[in-house]
Amino acid sequence: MVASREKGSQRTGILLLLPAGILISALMVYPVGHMVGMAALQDGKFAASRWGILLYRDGVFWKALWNTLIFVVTSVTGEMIAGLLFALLLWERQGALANTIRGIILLPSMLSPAVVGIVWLLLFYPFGLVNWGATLLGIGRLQYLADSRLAMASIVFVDIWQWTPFVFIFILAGLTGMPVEPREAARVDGASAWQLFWHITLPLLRPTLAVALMFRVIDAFRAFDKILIMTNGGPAEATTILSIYLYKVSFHYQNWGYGALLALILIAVTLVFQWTYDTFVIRKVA
Amino acid sequence: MDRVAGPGFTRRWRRSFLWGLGRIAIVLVLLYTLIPILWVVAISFRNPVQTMTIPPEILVQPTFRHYQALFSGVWGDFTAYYINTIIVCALAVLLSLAVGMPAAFGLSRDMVHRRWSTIFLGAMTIIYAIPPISLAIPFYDIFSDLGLFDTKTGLVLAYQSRVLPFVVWMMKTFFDEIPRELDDAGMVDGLTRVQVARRIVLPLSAPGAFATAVFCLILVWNDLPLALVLTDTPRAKTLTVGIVSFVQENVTLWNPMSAAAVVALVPIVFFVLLIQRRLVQGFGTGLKG
Amino acid sequence: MRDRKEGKHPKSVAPGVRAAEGEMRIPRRRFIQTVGGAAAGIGVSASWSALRAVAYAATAPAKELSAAISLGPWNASVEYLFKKYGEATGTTFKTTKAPYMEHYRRMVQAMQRQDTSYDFMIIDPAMYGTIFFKHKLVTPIREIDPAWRPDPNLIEPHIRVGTYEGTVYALPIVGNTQLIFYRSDVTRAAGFAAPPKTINEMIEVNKKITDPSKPFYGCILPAKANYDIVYTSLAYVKSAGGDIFATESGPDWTIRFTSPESVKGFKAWLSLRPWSPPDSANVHWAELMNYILTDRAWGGLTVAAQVFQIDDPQFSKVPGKIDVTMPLMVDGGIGKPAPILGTWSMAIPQRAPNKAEALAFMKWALTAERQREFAAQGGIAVRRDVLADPTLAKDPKNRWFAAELESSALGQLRPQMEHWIEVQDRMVPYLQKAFTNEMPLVAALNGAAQEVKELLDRYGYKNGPYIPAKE
Repeated sequence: MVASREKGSQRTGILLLLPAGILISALMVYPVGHMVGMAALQDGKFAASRWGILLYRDGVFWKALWNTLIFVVTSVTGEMIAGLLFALLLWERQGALANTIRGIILLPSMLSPAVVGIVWLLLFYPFGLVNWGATLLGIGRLQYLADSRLAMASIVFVDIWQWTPFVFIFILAGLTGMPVEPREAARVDGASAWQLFWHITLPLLRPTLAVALMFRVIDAFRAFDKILIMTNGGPAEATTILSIYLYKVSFHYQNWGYGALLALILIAVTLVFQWTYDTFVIRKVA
Repeated sequence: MDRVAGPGFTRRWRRSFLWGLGRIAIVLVLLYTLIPILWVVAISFRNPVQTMTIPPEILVQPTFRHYQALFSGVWGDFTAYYINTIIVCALAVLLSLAVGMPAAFGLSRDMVHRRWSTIFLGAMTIIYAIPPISLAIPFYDIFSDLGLFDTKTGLVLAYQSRVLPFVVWMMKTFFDEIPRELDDAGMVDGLTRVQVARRIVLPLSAPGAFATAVFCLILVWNDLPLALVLTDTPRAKTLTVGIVSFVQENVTLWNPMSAAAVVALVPIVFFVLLIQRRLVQGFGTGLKG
Repeated sequence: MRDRKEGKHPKSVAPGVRAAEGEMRIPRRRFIQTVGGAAAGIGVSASWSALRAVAYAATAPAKELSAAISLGPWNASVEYLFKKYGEATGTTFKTTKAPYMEHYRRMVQAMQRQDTSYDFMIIDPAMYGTIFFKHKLVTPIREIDPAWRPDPNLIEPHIRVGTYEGTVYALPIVGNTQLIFYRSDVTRAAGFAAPPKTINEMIEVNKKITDPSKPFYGCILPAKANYDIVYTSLAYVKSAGGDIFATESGPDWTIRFTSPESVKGFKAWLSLRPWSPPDSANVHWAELMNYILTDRAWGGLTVAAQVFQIDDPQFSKVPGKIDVTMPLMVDGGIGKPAPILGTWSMAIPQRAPNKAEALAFMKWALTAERQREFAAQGGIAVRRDVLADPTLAKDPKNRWFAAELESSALGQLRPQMEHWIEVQDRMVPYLQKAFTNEMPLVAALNGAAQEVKELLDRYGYKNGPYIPAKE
């Protein structure tokens, strides 16, 4: 294992990373620099007033931040649990039918988020399928997207619908890649299904869950097209999450500096979330 | 089989009950997944009048009007959008693999100083975390200056911001799973590092690479913000941009839009259904706990 | 990188030899091959692109204007005009389309970057025109043709929408204005000879024809969390004698939407709510039309551009039964309806390469014959003589012309301020809360006023103290 740090291999290493590095620098340096520049400067001077507005006068920002956290936590939790349940339900079955079923379950993740937004907008209509199903079940018609109390729940539901398959396939892979011996041994020892799951399967799944969770968390912070199409951030800003707010500030109000500042904050929040989770979950895994 | 009442009986009864429950659960999951999608397909064969009524009229004379209109160019050059999407997505994924896999290998095998690898991975994470709309505008600026606005090349480059971090992260994880002992064995046998990579590590990680490629393909196939801002004409417009063009100020044309969505979905569905097993295997090999 | 230069690599060493010691190198031959190959690849693609550019330039059409428009049901009629113009003069149009907000963003940024790629664009001046006009991102018409005067047959408010501080920047093309679409058959069957003209009359009609059990609703109030809720309520506010600000285009931006007249207007708007569908807070134009066309509501206030669907059996279950009338008047107000314009106008970017040709098209498109053809294609004309033309009026397909003419003639503008969109964003949540009864109207208006005042002060709009809303 002496090879690791020798000059020669270092050289190769740098060459291996170089194309990616060049591509990234060429693509990212200007955009990120541009964003930081726009956020920090106004007419060439440091825009301290922007921070003032952000912290003291922009009620919408704090609401958007809060909405974002709620959205991320609820939808990712829902996706992880649902994905786990689906995977547990379907991983042991064999055969063409099982394969087809697993394939079908993947479908929602293969749609564009924009299309998913449009489809569910239609389904949530007063005369859409969801209300029809609700009337059949005797629940009565609800305003899924118009009621500010329900709206967030509705978009979380749609997000879970779309991304559960993504988690599902990760966990499915983890389950199929699990070593068989510990489970067999436990079963021989008379462990119940629940004990099997909790003490053997789950710990072995931790790394898979970790990776899936990381991607989903970062993605959830960036969620945008679906929500814009379904509720446009309403009603009454109930579903305005940071990405939507920064879109409005930039595109609608043409206030690019403030929009860039919001984007940087969103990225920072995402990274903090991801780092916190990294240190605490990875510690458990390792 | 012991039919006498006793501990065996309760356990068997419980097992068949759970088995039945499992079956019902699977059916519910399938319905939950499929109904919205089937509804989209159904709408693509209907007229607006039949689209928004309840109870939904199940038996409706289907019309192929929307599909015909789609490819006749009335709603924009969808054939061009299709071709653009295929070309751009294929190139974007290939480029990211060509560039990302070597980088992932270098990172995995600790071939660079810890400092560089941390910076590199950190940059990847940051880039992945940037909301696409925030990236789209600076891209719009540079691309306009470079003449890359509304070009497929521009889109392929812009998409790297979406897929390259994903490729590097995923392939690094997969490469990490392949034990270094294999590398060393290869080198003892007289191979260079690069040859080791090519002949030993790559074949082992092929399923993982394949799975990653498919995910990336889906990522860029369905992208909206970058494509919307960076394209203008059928020279580079993609399917997703075409689909949302039906959501207009005064009206949403649900039916041709559903047709477009179905048309965009079909290749992906076929592709993924066909390779679904490989996909699971691919991730499985890489993610052994 | 220093390492590379340091080491000395004899050319003839086989790769395998060094590897045995755990060291690694890239043989020079290989390196040259890779770099050479990459360079060749780049060279080939560069020459290919260059060849293509030359070929395109050689075969480019004689005169081609590049137009940017936003997506909408009126696209077909406008593109028909483009085509006809090409046939008549040989000047063709290369059109690019984008969704509403994206189109707006792209045009603003293109103008700010001094882009020369567009000759012509169609914009929505009432919503976002000021940013173009105030910063001269588009060319004043008289700068291109100092002798131009508006044809007296062009309906004046449509031109006013594209005018800022006395200078005309944009000419109307699609005369989008507010109209009420309603079921004339249902109205007659309920015993009303004519459609309602005031709020009180509307409430009478509502009471008679609404039947929630069917369900069949009355007059729909679209109140989705986008700018429609301001757009529609403003019609009632203005008809009651109120307004958003003290002046339409400054210099006095004192808030007026909390004045007693404005409160009266908002109250009149809300008084129609009981007969509006329960999910009105998520109803936008499209949903509103759908309610009406699927026989589930009497009607509602929307824009003229919706007219293409009313008789089309693909869209409508009630073809021929829908008629059009003016927006409602508020009783005890100014005594007139106040339809708010949503005109689509044509403008020429400041750096357009072919300004004179673009203006020539605009003038051509606004002549009587062309507007007549435009109307026949389903476009919404902006000329008085076309809308009042007796031969056209005979066609039942054109039964909405009279209302369109009347509505345009009374057309009102929205505040001509750069930050109008942001102001609306501050008002919309409050108006929605008032609409869904989460907040009393007066509290909502005061809350909105507070936020709007803060915005005005922050951006430096001159404004004085405003009268807080009272019951």
